[in-house]
Amino acid sequence: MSVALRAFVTVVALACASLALTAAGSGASTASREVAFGVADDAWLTHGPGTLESRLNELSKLGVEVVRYTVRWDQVAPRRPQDARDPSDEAYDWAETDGVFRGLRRHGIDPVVTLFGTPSWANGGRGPNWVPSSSRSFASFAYAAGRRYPWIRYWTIWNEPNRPTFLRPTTPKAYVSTLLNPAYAELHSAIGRVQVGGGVTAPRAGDGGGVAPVAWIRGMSSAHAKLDAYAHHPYPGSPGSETPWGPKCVNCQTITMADLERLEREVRRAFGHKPIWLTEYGYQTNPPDMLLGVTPEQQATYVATSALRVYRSSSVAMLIYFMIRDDRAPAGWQSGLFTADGIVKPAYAAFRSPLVQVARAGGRVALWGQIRPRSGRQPFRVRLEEDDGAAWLGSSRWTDKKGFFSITVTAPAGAHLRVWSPRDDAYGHEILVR
Amino acid sequence: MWPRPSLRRCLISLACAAVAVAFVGGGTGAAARPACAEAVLHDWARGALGSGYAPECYEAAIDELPEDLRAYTSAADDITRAAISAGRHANSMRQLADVPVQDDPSAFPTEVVFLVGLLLLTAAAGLASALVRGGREE
Repeated sequence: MSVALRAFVTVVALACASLALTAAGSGASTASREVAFGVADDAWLTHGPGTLESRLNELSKLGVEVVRYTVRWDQVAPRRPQDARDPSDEAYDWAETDGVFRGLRRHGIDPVVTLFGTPSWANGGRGPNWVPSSSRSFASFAYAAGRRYPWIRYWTIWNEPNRPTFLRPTTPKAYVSTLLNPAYAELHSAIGRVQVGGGVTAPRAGDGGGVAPVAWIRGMSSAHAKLDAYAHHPYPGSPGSETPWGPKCVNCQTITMADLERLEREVRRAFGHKPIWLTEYGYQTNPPDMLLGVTPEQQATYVATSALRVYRSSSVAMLIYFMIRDDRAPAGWQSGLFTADGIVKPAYAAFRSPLVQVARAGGRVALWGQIRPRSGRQPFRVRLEEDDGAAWLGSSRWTDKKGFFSITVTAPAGAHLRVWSPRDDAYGHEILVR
Repeated sequence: MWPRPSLRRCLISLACAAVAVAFVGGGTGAAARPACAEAVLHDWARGALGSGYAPECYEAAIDELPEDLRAYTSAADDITRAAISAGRHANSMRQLADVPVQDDPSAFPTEVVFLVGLLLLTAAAGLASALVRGGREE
């Protein structure tokens, strides 16, 4: 190859790399995606350490925009109400939910309400996972809840009805006819600008009579489901080897975050262009979960990369991480931002200020991230962490109005980077440039 | 009639030995089952589940799957697949074992040696006969 040709090829290659990085790192000024990030942890929010106000302050510090919270029909209405559509009926006890929802509202956090759990008086003395005998009873409760909290926009009907643990009989038809469609109609009648999410599916059938989400979505479509959004829980199938991006499961009926495109395709086919709400998601950590857990650092990485994953999707409107604080019992769930003893995990910083490497060409690194606390444009800086100190990469920059940024910095492979938010006086988790 | 004391002692000893063997055997099985099931689960958790375990280990691992793994992960499917693969491997090994054992493939086949020997003998006999016939003619 002649010297001139080699020079030409080099210039073209550099231009391509530069274009790719520019495309990857130029998002700070582009239109912001409307995706909300939140958490779900009923036990912590209701009965966690400290006061309700201190816990809500923690959520505000994290930049939580939405909180999923379950309203248990069987607990709010342990007795049959005289007038089930009247929220002030004496049989109803809203005390616990009133406190939580008022607090969330005060902190500017949108609740995502899940209505769940049949009272025994409504299903012939069976457990809360059995459908009610009459679709009218649940519809009336949904109406009463809507009248009680008319300012709440986001509602979901039931939890993981594709698993017998949560719904019996475990069929899309029973779900749609006795729960979803009646509640959809009544919530729309009670609240003006409400959005009702249906599905709320687990990522797989499991065993013992569950239904895989793909079959469930198709079944809901056949049963003429009415919904404003489809809700799903894309937990990883093999946390030890599965990232939010892959490997993808070809021809599977399951839907994890790695298979987000399958969920989008199935929802579009079944219901048209409806937004997708990912109302539960997370990676457990080891310690303490030796079988399902990833390292705390991996958990932090996945919290950040899953945020980028949904940011890039055109249909996902919310991503809710489960949970805030680990269960103490080993058999419980350990995907919290805090350990059971209240020690902060790296995922805490990754939730508050996620940072992800998008691309690298030589020493130029494209980064994506977000500063979550508060609303509006936020200042931030990126810091290079070295063994013998640290150095700022460039001057202070600004996010877009939703807190997102896409930038390019100069850093070698193997460098450790962190984002800093001066308004929070806090760093994000550390990432390794690859 | 009750057996003679010596024979009776012998039978009792045998019975005791049999019971002891059964007990030890059973005990070993019961202890080994959870251990190898646990190893299967740990290999799955590391994303490194192979087909090197005995089929019972996979079955035990599936039986002992905690509820969260059963409901939310692909563990049951993955372990079942590994068990099938292990079963196939075991079958193919069994089929290989059924094939008659061959001699050292690098050795020269005896049939060929025999035929070549026979050929050489025939040729030698022919040569000898020709020589004898030639001597007589002279």
